[in-house]
Amino acid sequence: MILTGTGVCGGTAVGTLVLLSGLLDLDRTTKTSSSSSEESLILLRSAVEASRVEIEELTETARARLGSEHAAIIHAQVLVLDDPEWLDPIVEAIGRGASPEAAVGLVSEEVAGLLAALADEYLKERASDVLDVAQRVVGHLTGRSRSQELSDLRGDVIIGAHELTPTDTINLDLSVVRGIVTEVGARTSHAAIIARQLGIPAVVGATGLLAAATSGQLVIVNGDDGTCVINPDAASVKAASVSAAARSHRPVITERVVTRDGIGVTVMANASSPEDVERAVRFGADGIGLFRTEFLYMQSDGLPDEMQQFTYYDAVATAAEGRPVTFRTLDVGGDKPVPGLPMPAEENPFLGVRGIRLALQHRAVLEDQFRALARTAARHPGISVMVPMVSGLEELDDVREVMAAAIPEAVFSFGTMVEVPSIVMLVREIVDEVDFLSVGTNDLTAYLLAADRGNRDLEYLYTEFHPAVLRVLHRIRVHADETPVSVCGEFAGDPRSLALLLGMGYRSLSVSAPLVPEIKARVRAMNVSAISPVVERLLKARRHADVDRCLVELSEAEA
Amino acid sequence: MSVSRQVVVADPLGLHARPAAEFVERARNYTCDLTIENDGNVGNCKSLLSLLKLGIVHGASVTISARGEDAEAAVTSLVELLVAGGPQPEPQ
Repeated sequence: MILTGTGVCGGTAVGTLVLLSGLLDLDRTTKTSSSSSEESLILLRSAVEASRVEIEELTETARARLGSEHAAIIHAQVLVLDDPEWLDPIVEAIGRGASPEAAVGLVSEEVAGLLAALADEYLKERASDVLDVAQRVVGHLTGRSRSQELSDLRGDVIIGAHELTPTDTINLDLSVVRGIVTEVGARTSHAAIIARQLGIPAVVGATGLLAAATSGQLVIVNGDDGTCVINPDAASVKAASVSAAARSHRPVITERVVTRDGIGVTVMANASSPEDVERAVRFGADGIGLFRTEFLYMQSDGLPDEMQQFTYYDAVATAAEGRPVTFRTLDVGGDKPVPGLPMPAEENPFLGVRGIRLALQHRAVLEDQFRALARTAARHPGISVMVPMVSGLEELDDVREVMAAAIPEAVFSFGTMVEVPSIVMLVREIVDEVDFLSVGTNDLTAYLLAADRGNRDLEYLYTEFHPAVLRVLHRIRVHADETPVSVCGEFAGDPRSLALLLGMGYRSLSVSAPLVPEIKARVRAMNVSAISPVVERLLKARRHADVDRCLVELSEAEA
Repeated sequence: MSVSRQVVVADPLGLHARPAAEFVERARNYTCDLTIENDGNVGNCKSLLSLLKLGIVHGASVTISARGEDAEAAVTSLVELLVAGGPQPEPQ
């Protein structure tokens, strides 16, 4: 039986299905308590404290696996545990005789329902945080926790569930879990983003999963076409196993890799903190292709001064152990505020004062950043600096002016992000004036297709595999001529895009750190001369269907 | 002791997302009861969920009220957070 959903992380996986029980199974929960409300309150308090300890641990797991930004999101769940709007009604319900697990479940569903009903993507995600916390607390109260269900797994496992929470996903045992399939979910949910960064093939929205499947069945998850096959025939299993086997054993490759026909490819990682850089090095990254500096600004109380920045950047470069690091200057806008940097409320922040536009309105801030980066570069060769959201050459002139005021001479190589479509049309001109380019595929795709990648109603529209996006990526590489161009953004880590990017001439990628071993292994297996003709055809694609056909050919040429 | 002060929210996102979490964490440092009123609705400053439900946008004029021992310090600190980096505080 084949179920169709949405692939949120590419790749194929074969394994035994482990179906998780419902998040908050209220029907199975004892509604009233036989013990006194005092006893129930003691049970509640100890479950809350046990949950707090777990969330603190999960925060550290998130930091180690995915980096500081994800850790901060997970840690915000601690706030729910102390929230009187959540806790007080639970205590009241217990006082009226409800069992602690029923009280937590009912109140959490009510609070989450209120949040989910608000027309705001951020608040909707908070609703799932409340349910995530509730599941954990109820688990402690009833002894049926998901962390137990998810531990002691053996063999090759496919995790199936109504829905996976962010903390379920971040805690998956990567040595056994090969794939994920869920009944509901969206490409943009936090859990899906985590699965993608961990490189676990995943399908969400597989309607009918819980009705059709039972634990112990053999299942194929295909994150490329968004299907899940229950009890597949022997031929399908064999085909899927071949492609899954390549993924399941991924030794870390620390050296640089070359394709079978001798083309060297640099595989770097994206990072947002010194800890992220250490992790990237452990995964065998050749360097940091995108270091986002905004996290330093966001976690400070005010603007970090030159000395604070230097200390931080020096820690970043030290953690890279001599590998190249490309720092991106402060990239924020109305949607990502920074303490000490006033930003006007904007009708449309994604088309507003963000990235280099904002920095050029606060030149002293940019000067401080350049000075701190120059001091870092003086101690660490291999430091590059790039600026975000450039839309024309005039902005580069202005940036140079700021740089000249800040530092006597350029001590680092200087480049620009390519994410605004106007700059794509000026690549020939811009490469005369910079040392390198870096393509930010997420924003570039959104701006080209005029589609917000976070908007669930536009998920059908937002895809880097749109024929126009592919042509633009090719054009950038060709027009850049001898200038190095790297690709950062989720597209670079998508297993379907590697052959395509190499076929277009890209030789440098920067991906989520856990994907580095997989990408390096695939580079070694690749034969670029064999895939070039398919890429040629791909660039003539008129419709998505043409692209899909070529992608199938590419995966065959690769195999 | 009870203290009450009105302030215009300077953050372009309003009291939302990360700023709201910061606000709550700061409020929890004080022992006094702390409420925030926006457009006739009253919320608890120590509850993220309560705060989010008020839907406080940029430029909203809110009133922070405190009752308890450290009321003055608490209101001062929360008002400072709301006006930080923004245009004009409006002391009453």
